[in-house]
Amino acid sequence: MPYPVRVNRADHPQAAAAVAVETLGLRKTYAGVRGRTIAVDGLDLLVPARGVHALLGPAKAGKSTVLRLLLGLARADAGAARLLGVAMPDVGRELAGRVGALVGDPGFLDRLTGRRNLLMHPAATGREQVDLALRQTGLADAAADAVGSYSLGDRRRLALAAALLSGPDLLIVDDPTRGLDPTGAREVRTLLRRIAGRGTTVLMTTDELVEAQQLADTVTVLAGGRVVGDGPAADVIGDLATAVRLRVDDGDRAVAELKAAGFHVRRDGDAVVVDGVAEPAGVTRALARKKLYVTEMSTRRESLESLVRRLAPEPEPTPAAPSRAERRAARQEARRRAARPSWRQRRREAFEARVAEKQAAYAARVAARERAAAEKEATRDGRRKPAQGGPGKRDGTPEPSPGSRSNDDTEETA
Amino acid sequence: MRLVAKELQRFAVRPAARWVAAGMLVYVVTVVVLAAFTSDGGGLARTVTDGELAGYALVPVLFACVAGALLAAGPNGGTRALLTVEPRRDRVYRLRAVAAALAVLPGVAAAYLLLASGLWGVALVAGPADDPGTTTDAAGLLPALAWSGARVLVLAGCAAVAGAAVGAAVGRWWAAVSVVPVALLGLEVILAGLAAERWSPLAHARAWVAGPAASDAGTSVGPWWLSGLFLLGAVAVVTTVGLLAFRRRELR
Repeated sequence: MPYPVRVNRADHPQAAAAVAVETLGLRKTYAGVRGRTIAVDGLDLLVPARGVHALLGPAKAGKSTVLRLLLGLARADAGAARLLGVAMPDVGRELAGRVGALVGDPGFLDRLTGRRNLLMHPAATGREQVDLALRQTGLADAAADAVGSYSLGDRRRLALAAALLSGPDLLIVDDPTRGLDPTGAREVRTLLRRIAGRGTTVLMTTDELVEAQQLADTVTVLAGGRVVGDGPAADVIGDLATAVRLRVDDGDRAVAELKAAGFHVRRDGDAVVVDGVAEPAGVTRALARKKLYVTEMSTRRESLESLVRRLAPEPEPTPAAPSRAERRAARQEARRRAARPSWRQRRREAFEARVAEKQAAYAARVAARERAAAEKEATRDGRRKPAQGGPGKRDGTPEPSPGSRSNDDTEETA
Repeated sequence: MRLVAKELQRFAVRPAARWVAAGMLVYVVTVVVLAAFTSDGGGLARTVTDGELAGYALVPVLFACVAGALLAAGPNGGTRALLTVEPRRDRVYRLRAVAAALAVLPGVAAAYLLLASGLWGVALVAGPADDPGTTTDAAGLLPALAWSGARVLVLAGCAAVAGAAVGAAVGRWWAAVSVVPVALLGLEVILAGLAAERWSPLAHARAWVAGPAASDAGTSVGPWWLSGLFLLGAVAVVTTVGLLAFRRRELR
């Protein structure tokens, strides 16, 4: 059963107010050549009705997957979801016309005009409705132009117009400003704000902190398919204060003066770091008043990554438990390795055998050399002794070795 | 009905529909031109009676199958938009199947009429002066043509539904368009290898469109109505498999 549980309002006591979207333990994994990847892991999401709610997170955080699960474009492995109080995806006609979505390519025909494309949209029922949607998105003037001549921002607005055709209570938008220039992005953000102002709940995804801060009333921060923080945007994201890092000739005095001026200052080596600065110029002004001049200065705004780190120190998901097939493969591999040494082991053993062989040969050579040296020494001593004592030694002949002695014996015997 | 009409509108303006129509037109013109050069002066009536005309119409039926696949899976298909409006997949699937069956009818009908009129013209020009097939037998010819055309249209509708099922199951238009002819030809080759031509969909399609006259003359696959039932069953199987696949498939 793909959806073994159902969202129960009692699980969300804070959901006394109207809720547009709620999920409970939503989980989605994708199978790949390197095993299963967890896209969404036990997601408990609560999107209040009205206003803009942003799913914020870095790439691969599972934002788009959540939207696709909510829209029925993908099926969850586990968990439950409700859209406008209707359980997904076993939905009948209850949601028809109540949910508009912009996920992926809307599939417009470039040769046709914007109006014609909207007229052929499944949700379009008449020309007035289409014209209203075009006016709402600011495309009334471009309605008679071919979609192929639209800018990316206009295409996005046309897609939003298509999503608005049925007058939805909930608008789901995936990364609305992706690929847009700043002007286009600003227009789309303004449009989304206007749509939300008319009472439609907007659920959108974004990976831009600034966009979420500007646009969203409430936000859910995702990382690794999990919720790492949610709540009002002002509480979760904060005011996106800037940290200023600067170098001053007299760092200690600069720290003291800035502290006196009410800044949060800390030393970082030679540099002075001022946290939570709303206006970086205020720091330099405060220093200049005290005749302290900045030699080097850089500003850094809080990034999404640092926000995720702040909210969840370890946002990385735990690796998925190996599937039965993977466990079986691991067992077989272990058995195979135990039964037959790998080529690496065989190579190592061969190497060790060669080393042992060489060591033995070396030891034999050393032993032979030592023996030869000992024999030579013995021969030399044998010659020296007759020269010192007996007649044989007087003429300097060395002391005979056992072998030579034996030879002598042989000659005597002969 | 409103959604079916929208689907038909969308398909009509898509480039894929024009390519399919152009393909059919090229085929019809080729057949007529070849008939003009190789005509034995048999006349249109004999062509209809022998099932030769209906045999020619099998290629537009294959085009209909490809058109169905393109309608369900082609670029600018908009399945996602449909699902967003109405998340029930079964409903979207049925909608696509019905739209595919209806969408191919005008094109196949036009191709059939062009074929018939072209062959009639060839017989008129190149046939013998006292050609009984094109002049004296006009009363019997038109009903025969109409019945043959109706059978071709029914087969085209079924082929389009099967093509839409394949398209919905596969999801990629290029894969669906490749799968349809390759699967048909592969099946033919396998059945020929097994000496089981009586199970061949193409043989049954030929028997169905040829109709009772050719069936009375004796075919390898039995009566024409049995071939119709066989084809209906095959389409039902393909459609069911496509529905099951479409239910499970994830949409990008």
